[in-house]
Amino acid sequence: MAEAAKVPHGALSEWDGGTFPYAVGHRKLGMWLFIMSDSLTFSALLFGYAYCRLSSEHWPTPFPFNPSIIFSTVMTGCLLSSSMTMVMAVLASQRRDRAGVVKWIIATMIGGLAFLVLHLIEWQHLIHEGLTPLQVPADWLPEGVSTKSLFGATFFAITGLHMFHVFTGVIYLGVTAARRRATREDIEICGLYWHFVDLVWMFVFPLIYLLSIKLH
Amino acid sequence: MEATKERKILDGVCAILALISLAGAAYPVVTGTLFSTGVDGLFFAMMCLLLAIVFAISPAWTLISGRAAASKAAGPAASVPNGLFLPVVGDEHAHVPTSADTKKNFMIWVWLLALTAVEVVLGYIQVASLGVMLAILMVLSIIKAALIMAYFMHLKFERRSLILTVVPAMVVCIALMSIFFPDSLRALLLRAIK
Repeated sequence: MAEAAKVPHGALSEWDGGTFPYAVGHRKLGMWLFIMSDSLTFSALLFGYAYCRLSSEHWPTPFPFNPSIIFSTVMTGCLLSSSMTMVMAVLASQRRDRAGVVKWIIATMIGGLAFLVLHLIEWQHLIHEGLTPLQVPADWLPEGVSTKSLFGATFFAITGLHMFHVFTGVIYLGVTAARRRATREDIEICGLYWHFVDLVWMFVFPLIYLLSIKLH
Repeated sequence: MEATKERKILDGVCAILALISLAGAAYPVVTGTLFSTGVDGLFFAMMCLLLAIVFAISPAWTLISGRAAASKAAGPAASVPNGLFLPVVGDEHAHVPTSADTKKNFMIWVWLLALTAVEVVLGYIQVASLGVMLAILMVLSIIKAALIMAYFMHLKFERRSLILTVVPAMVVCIALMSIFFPDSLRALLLRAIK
């Protein structure tokens, strides 16, 4: 009976329910949707930065190559390397190697914490120089130009929100590593979040730092 | 552990002090003096947060140990299963990673570092004007983001329905934000006229 064989086959189509049309679990799909919305948050902030920069006559480019850019390049290296160790953690989880997972996640957390500490040192230097959200230090701009600039506002908002993501990411990684019941999917999901934080920095670093190098 | 009356009073006082410290940390944020006094505002907020954590330790300890005692009373704790052996969606297509997978991801990492190095070197020698520099940097960054999404985030190996749900919507929404650029240039022009 060709007809009888056809009906149950049709009822089991991918999109008829009871199956996973994306071939991923609902948690992983949720993380992807969160990443979509969060990427829009960050790009809105970066577009806001571009708006402020384009619409002002004098925008400071205050970062000397040595030490500021070298410093932030080291921070970028930390974050990229922590992404690599996160990949190693996910691969270890697929081998069912729990000790490996914990080891590599701790390595990832150390990379993230190093990034945080370096970033906070940098913030502290800038605040010492006199950078506030609505004002830049007088020697950052040509003489006679008002020091009222949104440079600080965009800088602190964008890097601050990113730092907050790194901070929550470190906590999330720690919780996941500590949970013995965490499945392979759970570890992959927190890996997705961590790579996303890295991905955002791949745009923040060139736009905020490399385009603000002090001209010699 | 029996929660004595003294213990309860201690925890209550500590919890109140922790809340007051939190309010102290929130104060410079709410009044906007976090940055206006140099590092002092930030330092004050950090110290308040630290105090809040210190005060919160005792009540938190009571809560956690109370819960542990309750679960112990409920019966012998079943040993927690190792979650890595639980089945997950997509298992039928999964394979146990080999050293080839490690090597592939390692090469992606090397590429990402190399592209970052190119960006930094371009910034150092400053060959191009700001506009050209922006274009080069954006192209390199998009390549890096694509590498991270495809390999590190494993998107290349997911079912196509997921890729088609995530990527085009994201790209289109981000591209739509370019609508603000003409306005920003107009604002600059108006400022110059004034």
